[in-house]
Amino acid sequence: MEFMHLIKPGVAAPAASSTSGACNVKIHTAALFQILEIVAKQIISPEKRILGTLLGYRSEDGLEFEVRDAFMVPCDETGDSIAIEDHQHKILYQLYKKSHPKESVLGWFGTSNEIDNTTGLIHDFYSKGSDRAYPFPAIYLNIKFRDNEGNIISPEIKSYLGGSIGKKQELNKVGWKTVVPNNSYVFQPIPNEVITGTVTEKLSLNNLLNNKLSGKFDNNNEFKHDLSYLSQQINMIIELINKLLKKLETFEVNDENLELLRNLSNNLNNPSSLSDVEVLKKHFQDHNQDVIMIEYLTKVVKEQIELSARLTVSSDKSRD
Amino acid sequence: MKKYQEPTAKSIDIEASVLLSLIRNTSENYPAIFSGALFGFEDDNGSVDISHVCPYPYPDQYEGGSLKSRSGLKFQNEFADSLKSLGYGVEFQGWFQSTISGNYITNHLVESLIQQQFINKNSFILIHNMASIGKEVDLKAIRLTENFIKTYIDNKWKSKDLELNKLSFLNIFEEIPININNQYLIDLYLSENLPQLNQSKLNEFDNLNLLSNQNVTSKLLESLSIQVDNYNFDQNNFNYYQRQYSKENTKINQWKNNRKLENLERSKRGESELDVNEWQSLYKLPVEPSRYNNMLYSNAIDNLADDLLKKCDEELIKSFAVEGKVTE
Repeated sequence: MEFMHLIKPGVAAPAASSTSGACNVKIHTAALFQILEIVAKQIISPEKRILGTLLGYRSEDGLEFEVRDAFMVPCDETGDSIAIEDHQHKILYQLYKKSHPKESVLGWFGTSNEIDNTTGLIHDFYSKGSDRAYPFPAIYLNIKFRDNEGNIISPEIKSYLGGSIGKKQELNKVGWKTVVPNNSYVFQPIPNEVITGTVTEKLSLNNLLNNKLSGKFDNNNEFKHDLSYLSQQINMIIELINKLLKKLETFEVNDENLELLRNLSNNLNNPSSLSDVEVLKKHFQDHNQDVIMIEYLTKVVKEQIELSARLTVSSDKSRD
Repeated sequence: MKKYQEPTAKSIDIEASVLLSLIRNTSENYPAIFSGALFGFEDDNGSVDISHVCPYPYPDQYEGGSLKSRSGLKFQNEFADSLKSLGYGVEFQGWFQSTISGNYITNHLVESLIQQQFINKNSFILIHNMASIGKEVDLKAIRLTENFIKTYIDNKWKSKDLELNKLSFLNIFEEIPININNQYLIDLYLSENLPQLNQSKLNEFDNLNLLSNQNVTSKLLESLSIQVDNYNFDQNNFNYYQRQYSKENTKINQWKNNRKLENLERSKRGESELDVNEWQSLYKLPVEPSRYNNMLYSNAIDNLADDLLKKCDEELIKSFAVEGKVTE
């Protein structure tokens, strides 16, 4: 999907960033799967609306959103109005906050095929009040999984920032609830990408991808230690090196690249011994000796434990 | 009276999101150990389906620490309540925990797990071995074996009792196979976006951080040496018992021989024989100490040693390959 927006859409949130630049939403695979699972388990009728809260980090300049988790919030839709169980949302959010104190509500996700009046109402709910995105702007993530004929399709993910239009209206008191009926939003699409966090996570995702047809979690990668696996891994490394070289060609020294620079200097700042073949050979020999020694001693420990267990048993038998 | 019930679960089915989020929690908190509760239900095909994960708020202070903590339990119950209020019919099924190799085999963990297995025969714990040697991601689901639980119920830990229940340090735990249970929508998404996901851009230069996992060997060695110390301490007690036992035994045998000779003399003189079992009131054989800790330490050492050996093999292969190329 290509995006061309020159400035960040104007949003009416007190803490919305003043810098204008391109917005970006990063969705963790775990969060995405969670949303898909919520959707898959809740489909009762095509008309039923499913929505939930997005949780994660937002960058200091307010231009980047990182969706790390999500939960469902029950709602009841009748005609043009919608009742969101905000009590449920509050409980779940506070529970989540306990284990993830640094994360906050980023916005919400839904599954509709089009942006309608209700979309604005929900967005309004998430843009205001405590325990929601307020005072930051809320984002809206839509998962479209049905085509217009109602057939299930591969989920399409779109993200939006809602910019409010029109003049703010007076506060309306309806019963004991304060309703601010500002549901005029203009939803501007912003780019999103699906990411994986840690290296381990990436590895398990690859595992999922490779085994998605068999449904097995292939825990025994040892079986894959054949040549095709090896060549696959080597190709990956070559690809990575190429990418790195490409990146270095157009390199900017800034804070973002600091970690990369540090790693590179750690790895490449080699001691002089690396160029002297004899010294290098000696290093390798010493290292291999050490490893063999560790291996030998470990084997001895392991066998001793077994021996001790056996001796105890046999001494016990001879006693009776 | 607690009774052993045979578990009916033949496998653990985990949903993809649960797998990814638990791995994210364990790997982001590394090197601290991290645990949480797993929720799901038992299906009709003899497996436990895990659909939700609840990471505990804080990393563990020691192996199995959060499993018994009150704050952890409270948090877990609140989480369960909120799942119920959302209409999910799920219940607590087990835990997950990160660890390094065999370090998870501790008193605390075994005690929590066995209590849980008494409540629900299909309880288990998912162990994420962060050392992950020879594997990309080392994840296994384990529960205590029948042999162990029966011995635990009898609460007798002498070598004789272990022999009776056919329990050794090698069969304390049994492993349950893990399957991944994808929702249809996720499969659909995966197959459609396969090439894109395969080259997800973020963090790929993280691989350059060679220092991240470098000291696995030294960590393993450290753990191994701690476990060997523990083992030795326990074994010293046992050795003391064995020495005492043989000492007393010699005395008893001497006494028995004397009595035999005496009886022979008496029968020659036509006197009645003296009781040959009188030694029981005169001597007392020492009682064998419990072998419980010995078994746990042995199992931990065995696990650590296995991982260490694998690691060494890996290291040697790499080292020889690189050496051949670099110094030729």
